[in-house]
Amino acid sequence: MIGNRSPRAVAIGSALFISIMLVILSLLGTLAPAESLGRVPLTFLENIFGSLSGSLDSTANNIAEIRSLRTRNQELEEALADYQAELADLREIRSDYDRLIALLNYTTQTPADFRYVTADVIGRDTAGVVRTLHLDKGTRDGVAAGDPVVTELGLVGRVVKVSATGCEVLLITDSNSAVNARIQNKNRDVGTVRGTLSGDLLLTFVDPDAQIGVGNLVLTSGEGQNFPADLIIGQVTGVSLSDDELFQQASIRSLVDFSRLEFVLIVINWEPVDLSVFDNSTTDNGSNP
Amino acid sequence: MAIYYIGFPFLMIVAVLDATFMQLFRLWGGAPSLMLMVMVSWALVADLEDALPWAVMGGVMRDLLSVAPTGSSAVAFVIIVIIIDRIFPKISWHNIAIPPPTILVASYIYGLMMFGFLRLAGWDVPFFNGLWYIILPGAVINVMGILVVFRLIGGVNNFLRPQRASMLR
Repeated sequence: MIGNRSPRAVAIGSALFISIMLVILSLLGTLAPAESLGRVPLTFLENIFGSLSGSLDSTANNIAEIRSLRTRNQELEEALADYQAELADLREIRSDYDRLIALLNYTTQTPADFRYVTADVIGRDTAGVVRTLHLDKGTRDGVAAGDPVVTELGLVGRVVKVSATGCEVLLITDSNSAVNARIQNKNRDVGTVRGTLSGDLLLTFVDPDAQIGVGNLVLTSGEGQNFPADLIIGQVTGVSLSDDELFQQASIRSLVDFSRLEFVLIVINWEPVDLSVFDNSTTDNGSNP
Repeated sequence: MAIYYIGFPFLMIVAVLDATFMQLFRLWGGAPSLMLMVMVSWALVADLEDALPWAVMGGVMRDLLSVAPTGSSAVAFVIIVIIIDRIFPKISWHNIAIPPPTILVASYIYGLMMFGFLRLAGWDVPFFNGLWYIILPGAVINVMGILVVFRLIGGVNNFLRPQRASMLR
């Protein structure tokens, strides 16, 4: 039968068949080992080209940003003076806190207990629709899917794909990302930080009575166990009511410049508490009142 | 066979360039796609039988550097190559009128298909906003870059198939 068909029809049929089969197998997860293997040479090349494009980008930005950096430097120097005074107070509080938790025998994992792997940003997602970063560290460096990714300035995202030599990180600015958050205000109100299409961060589902102030810090709450608690997400820059007026929402400015990240830290020893058992028990209770 | 030997490393580099250098030219939510420009250019100057293997190879390599399911770009590229083959006969690499509108339409076909595949894979894709915020800026930059890529790919085609290329002058 194939002999009667034109070579063009065979070529079209073969190309479509192979491509569609690849999609189906990939969606089923059957291709995962082959995908991981296929990414190795691409990650190697991406590493080389990524550092070249990174240098090019930095050079261009450095030239363009001298003026704005001078202004920013002035602002930071003023802020530093304020923070130094605040730091002295906080050190006192920290010392009290350490003594109290020792008395209460309260143990928890803090950012100081994390083990980090430093990774270079070597590329970004080629599909263009999802905001992700490609890093040059993978399973052989101890990285696993779900690991949080941070910088010294705050939360960056979470590892979603990992191969032996590289991994892909979903940024918190992507619209698929949702981070349970706590506002550093008097009542420590909670909400969810979502990414938006424009790459900005929006704190949503905040109690309408919560007193959110511009400049309040927003940290991860640790609820849902998607991220560890107390990682800095950003600072509130504006507050409004949601469209349905049931919740407050706030625009958040992260201190991290996601478009110019060159290296990040992957937290490799954070193990979320398995909450799935509670989901099952909730379902059981619901079905057997 | 030279098309395959050259195609594999060439498309590998193009996929990596898409994930690195091309990201420097982001506009709003969109970035240019060198791989799409290569596929459209190759479909315009080469035979369908030559363009399809490149579409599959290039698509797979692109997807390996993406959260999209492997093969989704390949399906999109194969469909784009088939459509181009149906509408246009092979064109000369000196032609500057056809590539820009072709890449504009191809960018939308590719973008919409990727939205569909990403939704299928469970990603939340902002469909209507994505049309103007992600696809349009990428398409605009693709239109600006296509003539350079088209000339380059035309040159590669001339090198690989000098006899056929001379017939199109």
